[in-house]
Amino acid sequence: MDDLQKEIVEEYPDSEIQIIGINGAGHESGVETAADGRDLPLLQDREGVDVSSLWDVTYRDVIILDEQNEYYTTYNLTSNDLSEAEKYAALKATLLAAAGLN
Amino acid sequence: MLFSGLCLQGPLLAFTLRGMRAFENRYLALLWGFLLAFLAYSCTGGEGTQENDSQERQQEENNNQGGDDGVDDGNDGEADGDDDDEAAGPNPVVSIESPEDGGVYSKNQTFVFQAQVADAEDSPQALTLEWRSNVFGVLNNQSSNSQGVAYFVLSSLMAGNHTLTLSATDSDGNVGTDSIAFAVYDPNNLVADFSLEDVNPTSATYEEFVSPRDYLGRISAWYFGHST
Repeated sequence: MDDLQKEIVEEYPDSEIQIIGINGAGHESGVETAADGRDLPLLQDREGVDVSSLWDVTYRDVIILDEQNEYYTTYNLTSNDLSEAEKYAALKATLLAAAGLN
Repeated sequence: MLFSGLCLQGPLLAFTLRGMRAFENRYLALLWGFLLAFLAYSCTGGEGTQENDSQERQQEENNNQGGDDGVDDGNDGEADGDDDDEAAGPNPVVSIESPEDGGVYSKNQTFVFQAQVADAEDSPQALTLEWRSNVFGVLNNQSSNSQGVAYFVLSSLMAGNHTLTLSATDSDGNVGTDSIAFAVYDPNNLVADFSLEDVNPTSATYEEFVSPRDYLGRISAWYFGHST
């Protein structure tokens, strides 16, 4: 995801697309590993907030919001492995489409 | 070619005619006279026509060349003249002061639209103003006050990414414009909000609390995972 963010910034420097990671509540011990070598914001969920329930998400969902902060679409990385070039390109295309760039 | 060949023989024919008159053969002389007259007419008339045609073509070409040049020059001159006329005097100066460029607003809030306009020749009130949004269309046409302040208020605005343009036109037709962009969202359609701390030491927002609302006006992708 970090590479995808950098790629979008390089190719579309004026684009307003930001990827944010959310580490599941109760998994704080894995933050160092999750953040290692990455520059993306990594938010730590907690029981009092529980964003996973609030947004009714599935593990490894990427929830995309449009410019109005409204739900745009979901892209799950378990069913769409980003190590496959086609899946990676599809997510990138979805983000660019949300921004009206393709 | 035929006429040219016959014309070369014109003096010979005239000599022959004189010879025949010596024999007082009136009828034959009259016939030869007609033939000679016809040949003389054909030679002088044909050459004259060709010369005239040539001269006419040359004249036409000259006219065309001159005419084309003249027309082009004339058009250019006219266009330049029109441009000069249209460009007479500077354009009005326009500056939008509100809403804020790049701002994000709820659709049901009060929107204050304010700008400053001025013109070198016309008074501010004389300028024709048009506030236009790419989302809604024309928002307002009210004139400014004597100080050049253009102002109006809306109690709501359609959700969307607005490009707002204010144009001011003076009495000479000169147009000055200013544009800004801002986002308007519908609070009823927003995703549920939250605020969590950024725990990545190398992130630009490290130790800040981040919310989806921080990304209004932008595309945001929220990846839900957990690392062990």
